[in-house]
Amino acid sequence: MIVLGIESTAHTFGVGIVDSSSEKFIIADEREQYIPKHGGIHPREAARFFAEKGPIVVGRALASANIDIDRIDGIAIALGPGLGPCLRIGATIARALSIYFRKPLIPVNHAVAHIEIGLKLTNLSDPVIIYLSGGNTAIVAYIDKRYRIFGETLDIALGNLLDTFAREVGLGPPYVINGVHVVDRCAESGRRIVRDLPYVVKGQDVAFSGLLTAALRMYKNGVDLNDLCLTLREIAYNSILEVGARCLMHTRKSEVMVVGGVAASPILREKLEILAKIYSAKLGIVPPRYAVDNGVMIAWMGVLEMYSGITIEPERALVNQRWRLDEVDVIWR
Amino acid sequence: MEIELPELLKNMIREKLYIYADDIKSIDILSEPLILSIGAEAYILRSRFMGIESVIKWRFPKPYMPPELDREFRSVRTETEAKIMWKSLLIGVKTSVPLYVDIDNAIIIMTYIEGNTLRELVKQTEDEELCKVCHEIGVYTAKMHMNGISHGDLTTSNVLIDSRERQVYLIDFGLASFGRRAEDYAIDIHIFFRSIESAHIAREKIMKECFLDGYEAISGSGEVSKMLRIVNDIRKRGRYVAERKLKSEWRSL
Repeated sequence: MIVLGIESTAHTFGVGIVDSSSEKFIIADEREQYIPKHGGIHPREAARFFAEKGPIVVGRALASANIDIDRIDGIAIALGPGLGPCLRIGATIARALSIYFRKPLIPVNHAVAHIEIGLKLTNLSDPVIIYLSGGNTAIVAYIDKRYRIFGETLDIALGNLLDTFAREVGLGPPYVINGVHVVDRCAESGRRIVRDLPYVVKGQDVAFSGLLTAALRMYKNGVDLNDLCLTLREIAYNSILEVGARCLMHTRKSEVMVVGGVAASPILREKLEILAKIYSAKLGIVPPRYAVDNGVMIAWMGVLEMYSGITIEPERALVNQRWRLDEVDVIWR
Repeated sequence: MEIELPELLKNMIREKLYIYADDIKSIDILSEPLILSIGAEAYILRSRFMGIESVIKWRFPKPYMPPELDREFRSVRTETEAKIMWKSLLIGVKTSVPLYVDIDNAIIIMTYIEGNTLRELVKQTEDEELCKVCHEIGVYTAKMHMNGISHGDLTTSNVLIDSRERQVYLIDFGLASFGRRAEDYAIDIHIFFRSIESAHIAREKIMKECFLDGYEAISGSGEVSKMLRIVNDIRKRGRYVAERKLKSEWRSL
């Protein structure tokens, strides 16, 4: 089965084509990333960028897969969660392709797609999932036909914390250079732990906005930036590890998987390796290229859903900015 | 599961207490511990401490953390936990009694309670009895809140019913804190409700109602409605929750 998947939930417009019967599996993987001139993602600007690039990226994907669109069995589209204006561009393109070429349209939850491509690439079967990206921080486990959110951030996401801190103190953008976040890099020269930064773990949930505010206030008061980066990072990562360990103990699962943009962090990876050893769990880290937003994961999700008969009429395929991953019935497992 | 015990415990296992009375009696300070469970931040061991059936909670070092931060976390949490256990006992909240606290080594030795968790018992418990238990938890929770304590992890797994006298005990104050923020108190209620919803949905009504009755008996009705308002706010705060959903024609698939 060959499915073309479109991702346009935040800053990346990605088109992937997956052939489930081919050895190669991924037969096209094209992306364009919107990089704001300053500040964070402006949804309308990102959408404008997508509208310009979208059709070109679709064309590039078909060309690089070297197949005619007739051979494609379905069009998969990430309908949420994400930024409304961005989602709508992808959805419009997907609906148009579906109607014009008479291909079934497959609705995909972006967060579930992150998990499924992770499972496929790490060969894990039933891990505790640590989902860390710019917009999401959640500890997830598969229980009773759904991916359940065991714990999550009560305010901002981990990626959001790191990026905003970097931006406010002048370390970024860009936030990630050669696969290392600028806050991680800045922390390398940190020597001591700054006292009195808040560490917030509430049961199974974490919260970062207080940490961000306190760290920025200390920076303005002249506390050494390298020390601040080190402390901020250690507190943030460790709170996630703590919740992850709690989930591991609670669910008695024996695997851990990290997905999402922040999964690429080598520092976090190192910590997780130690954690996995303590709990004798197997650790799987999704390769950075597929841990970040991409079209391939949407296409792969499309394959899974199509095998289970999940498609949607184009006129019903509306975007849903707040489509929680625990609302999706996992009938393909 | 094999673990390397800290020196302190190893030494205690080697030592003996001699009691000189009519005859000379010797008691082991600590018997060889058995591992009950390993949690996110601590090992829970079962042992006898000076002849008393005990539980040892040892917050083990986390090698993935910078040592100074790790030490600080472990000792601060141990200290707070022990203080809160004492305070809770003083205000009439039943919990196990701390017998030995070592802040530097992050160890608390406390009395062992023979019994089962509420989580295990809910299914087989009659309505009347279940209501009594939840009422008592409500009373305990309100007492803690009136005294500036939030439990931090108030789930049905952290409620024990002892097998001899059927008394209700709250355990695991590992995430408890002192503070006067109404929000932290509401989070206790929120977490308790969520644990009911996730594990005992069939008994939801009776458990929640009796809990709130107990809470109200201590705090008064004004306080209860204030708490429920905050609980509702908290529920809407999670990411992408349904109650906050934008008006759209979306129907779930």
